[in-house]
Amino acid sequence: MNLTDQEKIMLSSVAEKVKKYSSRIYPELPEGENSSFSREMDTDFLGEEVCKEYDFSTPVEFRKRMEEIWERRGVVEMKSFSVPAAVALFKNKPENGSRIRKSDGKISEYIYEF
Amino acid sequence: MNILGISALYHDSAACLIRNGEIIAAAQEERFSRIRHDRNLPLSAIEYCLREGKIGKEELDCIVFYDDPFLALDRFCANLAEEAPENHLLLEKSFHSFFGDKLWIHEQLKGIFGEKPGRYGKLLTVPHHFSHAASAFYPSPFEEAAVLTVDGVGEWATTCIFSGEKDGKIKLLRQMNYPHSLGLLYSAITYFCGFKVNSGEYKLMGLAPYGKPVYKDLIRENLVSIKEDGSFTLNMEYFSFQNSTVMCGEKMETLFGGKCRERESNLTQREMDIASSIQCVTEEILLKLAKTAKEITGKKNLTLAGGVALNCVANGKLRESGIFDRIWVQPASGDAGGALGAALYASIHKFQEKRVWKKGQDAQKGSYLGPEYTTEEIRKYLDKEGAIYKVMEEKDLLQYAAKRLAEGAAAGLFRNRMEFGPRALGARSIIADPRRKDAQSKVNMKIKFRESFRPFAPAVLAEKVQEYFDTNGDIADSYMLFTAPVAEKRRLPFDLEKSLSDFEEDMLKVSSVPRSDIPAVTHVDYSARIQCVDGKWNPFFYELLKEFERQTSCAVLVNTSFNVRGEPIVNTPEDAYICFMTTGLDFLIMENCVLEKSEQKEFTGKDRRKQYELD
Repeated sequence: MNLTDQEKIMLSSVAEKVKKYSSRIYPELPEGENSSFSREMDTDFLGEEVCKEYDFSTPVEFRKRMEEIWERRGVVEMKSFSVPAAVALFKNKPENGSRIRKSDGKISEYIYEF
Repeated sequence: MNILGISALYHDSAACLIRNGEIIAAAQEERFSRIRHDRNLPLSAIEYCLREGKIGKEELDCIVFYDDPFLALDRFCANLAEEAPENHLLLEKSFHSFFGDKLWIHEQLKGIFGEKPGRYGKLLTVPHHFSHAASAFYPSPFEEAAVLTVDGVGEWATTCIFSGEKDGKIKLLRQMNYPHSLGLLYSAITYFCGFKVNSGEYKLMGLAPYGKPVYKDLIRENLVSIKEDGSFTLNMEYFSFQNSTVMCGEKMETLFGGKCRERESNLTQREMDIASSIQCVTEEILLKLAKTAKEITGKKNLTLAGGVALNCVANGKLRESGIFDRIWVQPASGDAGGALGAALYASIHKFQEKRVWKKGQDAQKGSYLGPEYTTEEIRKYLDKEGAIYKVMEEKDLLQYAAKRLAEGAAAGLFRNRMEFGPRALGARSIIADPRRKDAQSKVNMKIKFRESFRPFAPAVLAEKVQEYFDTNGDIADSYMLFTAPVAEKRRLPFDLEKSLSDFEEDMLKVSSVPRSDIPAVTHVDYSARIQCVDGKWNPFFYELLKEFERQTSCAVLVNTSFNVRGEPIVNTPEDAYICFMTTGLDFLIMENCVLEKSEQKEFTGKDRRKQYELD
């Protein structure tokens, strides 16, 4: 399913708003000159137990999980993403019977896939 | 407990089954689908793992995914915000893969396993670098160790230092986050030099010894700022992977004084020098990271995983440095190995299973974790194809194969369980006599149809390794993950600069100049990527080396993966037979069956070479 203009506008406008109001979007690098290891690690984002159950079936459950991460990261402005992300996500939910989505399996030759 | 680990939806999808902490089976999906680096859910690999484990899907206790999709979405949203308002390409590029694919991993798995994935009832996720760390530490031969994971990017993490403890727990101690990534830096330079991202990195490493590190300072001053503890930041003005469909653009071209090299165009001294320079920078960062890992963990041994850990030249430098007593690298260090790590991590951290560990032995089983076929199954296939073959007793087969190799014939070797990870280790290999001057160009040009400059690796009898290579005492690597110099007494005088000049940078001619008495496995800097063969997990390959030595006094064979350029390594007898029939291979060993090319009828099947995109 392709991205609709409406979805693009929603996500882009949230992104602009977050950029405008958030002083810190990416995890912080340490202050000082001796190290560039980050102050924030996976255990800060997820808690000490990083092996998590992965399940949600409603937009509310999905939003809750995302908002937990944003709270942990201390970037509450990012919560503005939760509604448009949930809308985009549930609009693209695989239907029963066609759950497994097969693509051509190929990866891009020009960019690292992430 | 039966735990299934899965890596998928980025690149190099794979599945792995562990039982009570023991690795039972593991395979990459690409070997079944025949799509290189296949990113789809690994349905065939899962099916194979269950078959190998002799269980049905209802007997699985738990399924574990090697990445945390929520955390990955956080990074995607942050990236959108960071790049706003110029984020349209990023949206187009990644929107569907997140919202229509990765985040629905649990729903997609219901399509395979039903409403409850395993007896546990819920899919588990383990963060990307924890999965890598677990894949490095748990199968290693060390009771405790420092763990270094370095790749492109997982969710946020790009580089981590962990401590692997005696109680089996893994503790995260340091982390670097996106976009500051050694893997992405190396990939961007790979792209700049005209190689395919995510697969051409290996070629860049192979190209490096042809050049001089003349751009090293330029890279350090402009692209990456390195701290004494090995941490670093990228200067994002030079990279476009955050908001574009390419890795870098005009600013990088200005820095290196010209356009990116076009794919498949001639390699010039510039690309060789850039390759050499980025290799030096990579080694500098890894050595500094290793020192920090040693300092903060106090461990004697190091384990490594993540795509950058496949840089066997840097691994060789790490070993040579002596920072750690011993180093063990996960053979499936790329994303495929994440399937293994995720399953092992959940086994120990979630379900409190004991780590399966024996002093001094690794638990990777030689990485022979994939499918195998019996002689009877192979015969059935060959009979259907009308192939002409002999079935030999093993002793006769060894003598015959060694004799043919000594005569200069190149063989496809298809025996034992298929390897897990990108290296062929004698189960799905092309082998040849390393003493022959023409072996490198023959195998590169007539069999694998790949670039002439690329070197081949030697498989050597473990007990004879020091007769051939200066290995600094540590001879334990069975996985072709370290380079070491060819022994000085075996080297021949070779002036690379003069050769490049004499042959006007014609790499085929340069690489044809012998550099030792085992020229086919000696790179232009006298280095070699060694596989020590001790026979524990692949006794046939060990015996073949012994027989070859008995006949020739040489305990080394060329060992390269059994495939053509762009093709995943062969998996089935059909894959092997077709590759044999459509390339310049002289003979083929499939379990106890032997086929000679000269005796075969004309091949009328589909030549699959055309279906593979060049890598």
